[in-house]
Amino acid sequence: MTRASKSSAAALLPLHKLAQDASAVLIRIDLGAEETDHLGLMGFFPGVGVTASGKAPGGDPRIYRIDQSEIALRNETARNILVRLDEVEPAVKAGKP
Amino acid sequence: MSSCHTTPGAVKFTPEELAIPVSTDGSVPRRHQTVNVRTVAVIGPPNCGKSTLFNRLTGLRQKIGNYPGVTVEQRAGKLAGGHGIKGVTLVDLPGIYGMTAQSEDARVSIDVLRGEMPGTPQPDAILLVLDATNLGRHLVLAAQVLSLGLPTLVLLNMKDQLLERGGSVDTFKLAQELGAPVALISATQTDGLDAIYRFLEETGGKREMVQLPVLQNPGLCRDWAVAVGRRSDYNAPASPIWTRRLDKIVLHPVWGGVIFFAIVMMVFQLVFTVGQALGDWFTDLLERTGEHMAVYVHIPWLQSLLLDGVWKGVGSVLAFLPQILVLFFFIGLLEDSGYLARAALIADRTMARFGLNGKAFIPLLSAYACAVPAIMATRTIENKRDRLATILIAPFMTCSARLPIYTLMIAAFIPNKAIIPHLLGLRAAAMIGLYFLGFAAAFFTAQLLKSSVLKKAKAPFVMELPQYRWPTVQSIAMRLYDRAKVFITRAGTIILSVTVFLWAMAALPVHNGVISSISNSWLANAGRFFEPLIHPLGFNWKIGIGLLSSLVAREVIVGTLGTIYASDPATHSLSLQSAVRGDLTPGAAVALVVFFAFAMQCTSTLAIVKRETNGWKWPIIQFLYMSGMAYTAALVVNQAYRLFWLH
Repeated sequence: MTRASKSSAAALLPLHKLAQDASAVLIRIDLGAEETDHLGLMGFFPGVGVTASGKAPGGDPRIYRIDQSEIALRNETARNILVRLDEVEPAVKAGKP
Repeated sequence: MSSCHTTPGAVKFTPEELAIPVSTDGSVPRRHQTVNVRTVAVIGPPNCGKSTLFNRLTGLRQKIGNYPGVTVEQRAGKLAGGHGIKGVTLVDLPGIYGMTAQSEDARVSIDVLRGEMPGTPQPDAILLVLDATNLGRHLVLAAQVLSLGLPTLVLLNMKDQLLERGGSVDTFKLAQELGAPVALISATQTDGLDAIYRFLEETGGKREMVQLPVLQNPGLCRDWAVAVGRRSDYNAPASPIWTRRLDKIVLHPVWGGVIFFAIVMMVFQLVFTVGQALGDWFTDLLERTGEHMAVYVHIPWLQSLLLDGVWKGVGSVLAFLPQILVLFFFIGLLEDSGYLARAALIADRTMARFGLNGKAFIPLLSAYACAVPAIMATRTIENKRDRLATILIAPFMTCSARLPIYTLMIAAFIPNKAIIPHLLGLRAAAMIGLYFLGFAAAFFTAQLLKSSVLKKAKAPFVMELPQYRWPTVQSIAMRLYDRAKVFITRAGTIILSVTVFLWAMAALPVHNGVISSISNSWLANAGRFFEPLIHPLGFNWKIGIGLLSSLVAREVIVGTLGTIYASDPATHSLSLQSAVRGDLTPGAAVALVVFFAFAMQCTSTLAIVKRETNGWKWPIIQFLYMSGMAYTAALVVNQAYRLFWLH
């Protein structure tokens, strides 16, 4: 059973709404094939764990941690990436809508 | 591994091949040499320390060029001696995350590795550099590179950081998993590099591949990489605590912006002051050296050619060199330390409003000093369209070469009055206005480009933030050496030929063995020929000659006007300011500075744009666009003055 299917009951959340330091599992990328492939090269694909680890002073772009990498995405891109809150880590909390 | 499939090109490893991996101490067992290794590609993801390793292995034996037909820089170098290996050329390929052609860089890397890049031989072997602290993701690239079937040494770089932060990996097991030798190294500390020499000395013929995942499926590749890491006892190191702490400060909602502006202003100030001072000193040194050399040449025309043509031509290029080196010193510090990526992140929101991305910020800031290093600095922008847009707008920023003519015209036409006593004068306000004019033209052009010829579905802004690191002296020194070499050899040759041509135009025809004065020269005739074209702007033939001569470099106009007015008996005794004031109406004076704000009058910049875009198409378009804009704006200003002020 994958990490994604374990937490299937939880609602999907756009990645840019993930609260600071919260972790989630990437479920779906609603972008074109080229952008999806580009994000895939950087480690963004379904099933991978993502943590919101920081943001630019204005709040956009935001920084996400995948494995040991810190990757910055604009909110306009991150809103098309849907995640499910990671139930494995109890400290996780949802961001404000 | 059920989720993995043998790709069409992938075949099984033989037991003999699996017996060759290096041991955990990084040593490579001896093998029979069956291939004469001549060309070795160095490949890896960005920020893995690939270029540091390349610099360590080649030293100053590097050659920089462009791959034919593309704008990607080609870096090749001979392997440094002392290890008994001779005649091996290393090719430093662009950093890539995967072997899908997402970018021109990736396309070049793939073509070179497959032997499909014209003029570049297929490498005999590969040094695959991966970041040992982030192996999980980087093993995906390893699978793709190993699937090519070339002899490959997998180098896990940043050994020091892996061990310091409690990480570990069994390189012997990893080598078995990958079917290729693996060595744990630290390129910055030259630790473990012996493995590379032994690999090159002893590498065998092209080996067969191991079973690899379906490369087109990133999810399966990722699963494969995780499984390989687990079976290789890979323990990822602890999160880099200093990077987290520093990011809390430099990306702080309030202090982040303050630190950003402080650093930017400091760099700008130092490039402008230290770079400018060094440039002035250097120019002075060149002029004095030229005068000393002139003593030894007794034939007047030859003296003029060597001094005014060749030496001053070379000098006009070299005068930019100190600024370029100061700028690239700071860009090197910022980039190698990891702050440049944070600066791009902070600037991104503002730059996005103009259709650019955050990485364009530093080059555009640099363009206030000089467009030449600024255009060279656009190499940090991976997206080709964003990079091209930045290259095309950079010359609008008010560079230091515009200041001599701005200063002259402001001093000649604007009274020295205060707008706000002790704080802001009329002349300073005029100068700020000219800076703003260039800025507005740049961002108007950016929006025009991004909504027309460079329009495309938005590429996502995806940027990996590297860990903070101490920059190394060698890395910074190599960067400065590279930039200086590229600048002098490329821009220098083009500008030299143009200045010699202009010298000839200003010196010819020769009467009785004596060269012409400038007012009787072919250049003056050309100025008079173009006078009808520039008359509507309020300019006469003298200004016309100044404009023609400033095609080489903007600041040349002041010297040219000085020579022309000094050789004219009517203005001989006047100061340059007075002479100019007598020759131009206030409307024409404003038209002249507006013309300079918009026009592309810098052969160094055109030469660099040609080099960076790998052809004449964009520099010609840029020249025509900027000249057209300059002419139209100057025409509007002068005609408006005639219509509304004179009547």
